[in-house]
Amino acid sequence: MKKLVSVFLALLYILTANAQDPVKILDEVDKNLSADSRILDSKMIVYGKRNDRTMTAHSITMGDKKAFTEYLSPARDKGTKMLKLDKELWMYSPSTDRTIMISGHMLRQSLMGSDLSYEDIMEDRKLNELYKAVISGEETLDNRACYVMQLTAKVPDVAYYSMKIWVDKERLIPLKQELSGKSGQLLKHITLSDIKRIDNRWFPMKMNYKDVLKDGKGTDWIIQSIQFDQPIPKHVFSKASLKQ
Amino acid sequence: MNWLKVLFFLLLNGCCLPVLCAQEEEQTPPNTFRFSGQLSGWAQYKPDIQPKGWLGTRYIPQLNYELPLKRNNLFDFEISANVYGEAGFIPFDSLYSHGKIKPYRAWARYSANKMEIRAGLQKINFGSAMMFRPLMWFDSMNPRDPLQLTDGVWGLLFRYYFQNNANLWLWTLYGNKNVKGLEVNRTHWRTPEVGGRIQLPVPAGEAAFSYHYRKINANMYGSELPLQYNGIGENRIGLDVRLDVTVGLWAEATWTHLNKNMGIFTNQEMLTLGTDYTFAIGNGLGLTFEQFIYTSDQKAFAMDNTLSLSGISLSYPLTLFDNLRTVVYYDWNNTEGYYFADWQRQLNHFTFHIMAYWNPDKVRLITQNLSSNRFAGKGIQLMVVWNH
Repeated sequence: MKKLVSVFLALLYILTANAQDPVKILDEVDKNLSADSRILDSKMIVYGKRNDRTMTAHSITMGDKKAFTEYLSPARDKGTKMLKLDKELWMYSPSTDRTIMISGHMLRQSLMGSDLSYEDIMEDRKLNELYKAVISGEETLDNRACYVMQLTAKVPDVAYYSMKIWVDKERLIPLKQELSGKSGQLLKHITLSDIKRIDNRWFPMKMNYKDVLKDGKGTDWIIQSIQFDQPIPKHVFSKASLKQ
Repeated sequence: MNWLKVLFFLLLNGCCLPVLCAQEEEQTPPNTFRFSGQLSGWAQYKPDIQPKGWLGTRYIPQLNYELPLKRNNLFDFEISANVYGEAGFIPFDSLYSHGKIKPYRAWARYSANKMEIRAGLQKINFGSAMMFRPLMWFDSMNPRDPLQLTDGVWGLLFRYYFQNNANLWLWTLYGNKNVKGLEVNRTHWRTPEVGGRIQLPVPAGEAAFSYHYRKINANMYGSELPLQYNGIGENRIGLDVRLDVTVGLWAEATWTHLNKNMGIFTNQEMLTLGTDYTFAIGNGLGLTFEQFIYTSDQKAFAMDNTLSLSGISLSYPLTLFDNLRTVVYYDWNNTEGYYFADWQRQLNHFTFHIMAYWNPDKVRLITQNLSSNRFAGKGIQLMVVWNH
């Protein structure tokens, strides 16, 4: 009996230790957030001091290299399409009926005047592949017990050099992120909410991005519908998708 | 005459549509109609050129119909009109007014996953350059125009997209009486124009080769020319490259050759070299620079009669809703500068523009069509645009 209790305690210790292993936590976060493919309809609300703008879009992403987005509203932007293949980005504009290759430096610029960059919305890279992580503490956020983790880039081509994230202990999903540049300056913070269970994973259906360098109350990115790991026809990720 | 073409186009589609519908009884997605449009109004004040004040409005109603077919194929059409009126006035003296209704687009298209074929009045444009576009063969977009309006061309366009992003374009144009893009001469009536383009991926970018052939009327060169010079063959060759190497780089070059000796117009060459970059200053300062060279001579590439233009464009998002854009051209031959600034405020359905410009009284930019004369001299223009 004593032996059994010892084994049980040893197992419990190992499990607890593993749960607090930042790499494993980040791995679980990646399992929730990343997918082989995603098909989603979303709404973006850009809040200014007095006005707000709403855009809707249909997006298809495959891994961290391929992404296609078509804007469905407002009327002025309807039909605008963007295709990202690895580091190349093309944009089709219905007003000019022209497809233009966008230079890579544009990827970090504001998307349609919002607090999100092209990179924010079109990338689905795994955190574990980009960052080294340490657990810096524990806090309660929105009545949820969270690990507070400090992430530092381990690859050069990363949009944000460091990140502080609050990961829900139970669901292993970030509830808040602070994104900083190499100088340590805070660039954006993201609040993730409306966490739903979809296909054996937890996923935030609402994200508020706030570019701290801009005025306004940030941008809400609301996922209206999402499907994971669906087969995507090859032609979707080619310039054929950019035709009118 | 253009309305007759549109009527013919509608009748043609009216005949074809039931046949296609009958063939595709098993189609799943529903047919869709969409009515949209753009209404704009503007006021312009030019202190040095009469009439000093202008008011104008334009409405572009657009109807789209989509008929999804089996295996992700689609038949669709678009029809739109350009309805506009404007009035220039000299206070307590006179009033000039002008208005027109003309077809803007009227095309039908059959498309599959990797190809499309489109017939009718349509916009055909391509190339890498942004401000000075040697490949502006079939459109006349002015980079300073916030609406990016351009008349279409009547023709048939086929496009095929390969999985590696190479793409092939083939076209034939017919029935376009007016000059298109940067053309000086009208096309010989009742002769089709033909051409094509192939674009290939290259390391860090893409490159394309374009070709166009048509017969032109030479009357434009002067009355001393014999009449049999009508129907001269014109060959156009275009090359363009776009690269992304930290900064964006592009080159666009064309050579237009007439099959008869027409003096200095026998050979015309154009070249644009450009670059762009967004600097991490404030909200991100976008910079585009282009250098343009034009030459024409009896001998190809003689480089004797040259024109040179430089262009620089800056774009800066002031807030989440406001953007400031400036465009400056410099004409090195006439030592003249063209200055343009546009503040834009973007809301959900409305866009507001306040534009200011300071240009020579006579616009002599070879790369711009006659619509640029609206920006002659110095002045300001207010514009409101509503999209529905």
